[in-house]
Amino acid sequence: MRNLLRTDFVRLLKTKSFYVALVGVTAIVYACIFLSSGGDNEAAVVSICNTLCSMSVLLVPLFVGGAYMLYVSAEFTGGAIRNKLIVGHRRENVYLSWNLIGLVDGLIVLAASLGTAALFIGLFSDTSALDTENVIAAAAIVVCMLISKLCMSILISVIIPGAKGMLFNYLFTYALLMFFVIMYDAAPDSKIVKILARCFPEGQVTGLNVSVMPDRPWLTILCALAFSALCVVLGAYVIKRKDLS
Amino acid sequence: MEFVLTTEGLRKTYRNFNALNGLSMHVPKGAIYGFVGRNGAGKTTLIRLACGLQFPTDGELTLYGAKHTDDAIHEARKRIGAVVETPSIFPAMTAEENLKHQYRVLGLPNFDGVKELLALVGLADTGSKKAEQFSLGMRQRLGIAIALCGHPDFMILDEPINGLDPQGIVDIRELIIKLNREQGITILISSHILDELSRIATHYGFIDGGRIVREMSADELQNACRKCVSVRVTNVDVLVRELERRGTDYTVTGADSVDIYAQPNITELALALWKDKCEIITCREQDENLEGFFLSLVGGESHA
Repeated sequence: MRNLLRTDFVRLLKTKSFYVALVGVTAIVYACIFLSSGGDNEAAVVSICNTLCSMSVLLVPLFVGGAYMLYVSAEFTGGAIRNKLIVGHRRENVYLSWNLIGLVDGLIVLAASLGTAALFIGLFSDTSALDTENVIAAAAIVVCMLISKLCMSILISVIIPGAKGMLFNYLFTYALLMFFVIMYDAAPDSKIVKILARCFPEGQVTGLNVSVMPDRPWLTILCALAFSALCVVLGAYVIKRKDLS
Repeated sequence: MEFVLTTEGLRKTYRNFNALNGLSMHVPKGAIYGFVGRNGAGKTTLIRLACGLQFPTDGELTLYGAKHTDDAIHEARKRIGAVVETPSIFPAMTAEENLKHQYRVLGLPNFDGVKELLALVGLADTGSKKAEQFSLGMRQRLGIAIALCGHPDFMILDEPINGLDPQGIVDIRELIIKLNREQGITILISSHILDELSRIATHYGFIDGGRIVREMSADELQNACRKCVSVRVTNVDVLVRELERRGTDYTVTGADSVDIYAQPNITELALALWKDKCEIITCREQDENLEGFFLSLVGGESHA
């Protein structure tokens, strides 16, 4: 397992899609800050943070997840996964390693973009209007949504490798967005919809900001992590039974 | 005899198609095992199962004494290297980077031997050239180099000379012989190019319809390959009729040629044919090659 983690991490650092995601997300985050900044007063800082929240909860996971799908798919399309299996690595370990390195990938991108942005805001702006608890809750939810999206993206790329999988991922994201928009309107009190919304980034887009404490953030974190774990277990099951050519 | 790989009654079914149909084979330690079969006979399926890329529907596969259902199979697989169909490489990496990647997969402590491996397969001068810019032959060599990482005891090569130029074929042949003789690596090699296979294999397994129809050593094959008399005539139908009348084994090899598996009295035969105005144009004695033997095994065009 340690060999797989080391191998996957070194390959990640040599993969173009990782740097594209890193630069792309960071550029988008900073562009959002500059576009929405109206001075360094308290209200402007809250506004910027809210923009970052609503954007990063979907856009960052989608961007990072999509780029990471390319990374995983490369092993299938080039057949390189065979080199791991032929020399005795277990399929579930290969899959787990992808998930862990995906998490590292996501956290690096998050730290480079939102992390540095938050640092700049904290150092150079008046943050007295921000409630620390709200910010921590929102940040935790963003991280959990990133994990959820990454686990789902990896699962999709195992079931549908290559460009088809990426296309499916984006279409699925769009379908989920539409689903939550429609369901929030049609059945605003539905418990099932609310639970589902806590699992997917698409369900958090409209609700997350730093002005108010999110509704039961611990439950959202729990749901997202449980969904991520389900994706990992399901993916390990799929890859364990998959016939590779 | 000690076996590296054995299978008993191995079956693999894809929906309604039986790719392997109770296949039993035995690869002896230290052998170059030529795995011969037509397209779709099940060669690559067997190789995929041996490499752990797919799972048998039924039957048993044993690698270095570990059954495919045992946990120990993962340890046994650490002793093998393989190139299955197309070489498994990262196109965006150089040859050296690909090898270093495999070193990490294997958990080797350092990159000692990478340069030697590249030199061994003739890729020492590729430098910063990405694998995506390699020719098919270069990719094939890189695939073999990757399979050699970690000094495997058993190598599985699926059609390793496909797409290679004549010089490439000679190089790979010499490499396989060298690995077998100097490093004692057991090699399972599947190939359509039977003539090429006959130059290196010490053992053979003939597969047809998902099952092994015959396993034999190269010596046994040599003995089994029957001598024949190859005859060209002006009317092959007349010759066939005469051979049928005599009850002689033969194979029609062309519009005007027949291989006769006997030592016929040529004068008698010529006189018999002349009665129907059929002339013998040429006549020469020859040994049956691997191709002919294979066809006779899997029911090609030969008649008895």
